[in-house]
Amino acid sequence: MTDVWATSMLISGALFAGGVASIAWERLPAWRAAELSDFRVAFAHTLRRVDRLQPVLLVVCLVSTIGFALGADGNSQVPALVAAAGFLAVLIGSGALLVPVQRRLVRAELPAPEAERLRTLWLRGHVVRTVVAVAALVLAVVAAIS
Amino acid sequence: MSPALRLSTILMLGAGGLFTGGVVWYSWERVWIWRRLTLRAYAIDFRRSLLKADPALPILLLISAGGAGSFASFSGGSARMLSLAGIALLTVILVSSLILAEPINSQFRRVPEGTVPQSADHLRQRWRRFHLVRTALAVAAFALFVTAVSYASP
Repeated sequence: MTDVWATSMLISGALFAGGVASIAWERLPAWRAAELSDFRVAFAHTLRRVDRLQPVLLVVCLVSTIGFALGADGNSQVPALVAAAGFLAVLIGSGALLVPVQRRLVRAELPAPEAERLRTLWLRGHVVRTVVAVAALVLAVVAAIS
Repeated sequence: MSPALRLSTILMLGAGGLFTGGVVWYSWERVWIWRRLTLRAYAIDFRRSLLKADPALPILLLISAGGAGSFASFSGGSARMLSLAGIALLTVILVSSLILAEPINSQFRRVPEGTVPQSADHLRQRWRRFHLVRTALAVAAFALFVTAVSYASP
């Protein structure tokens, strides 16, 4: 049973962390350099696709990591629990901070300085989310082989 | 698990996971958006994307394959066979990318930004089909690596 949790944790965790890392690596420089109006259009297109997949992968990964940790022994349990805490922090941080910013950027009529502030906030938040997600993936790998 | 096998596994799964997640993200997000762009907008965005993705994804692939090679050398039985099968799939991705995708990429790279290469729509279709196949192979390779680890002795 632990193997099933480990497989699910590693595959969903890899797809999630690889996805957010790709956005950080490939999209963020383009969005940072873009005109504000172009950024908001491109950002909305990306959200339309990514918001259908990434939250599902994150929840599957979080549940699998917790399931793995509950069935694991001491050596594996500690890194698995820390990885689960990392994925949970990403989930809560995304829901509480980044999703409201996304909604305002995509839907609201905003004065340019406020839209610029929100863009900067989202880009910084995404970098933090990426670092935590990649660290959690590495911890999940460590847990699976401990 | 010995320290060397442990390090090999972390490289194989860590880099392999980021590589696989990256190519899946391209299939899910960029490819979908590129289909809907005008050819000029596509040529600009594709060219810029290549500049970022080209060094990163092949490096992750090579680190993962290197880690998997080391993993195979330190393990035996099913774990070795599965990791070797994963390496074979990564090799297919690398070689086919050089033979099939790179000529398409270079047509977009060679022209100045904003210029649409000849047969750009045809090139876009071919690249999209190729990338979807490459994505399936990458997911399969990563699944083989994960399964190999479950067979490795703790």
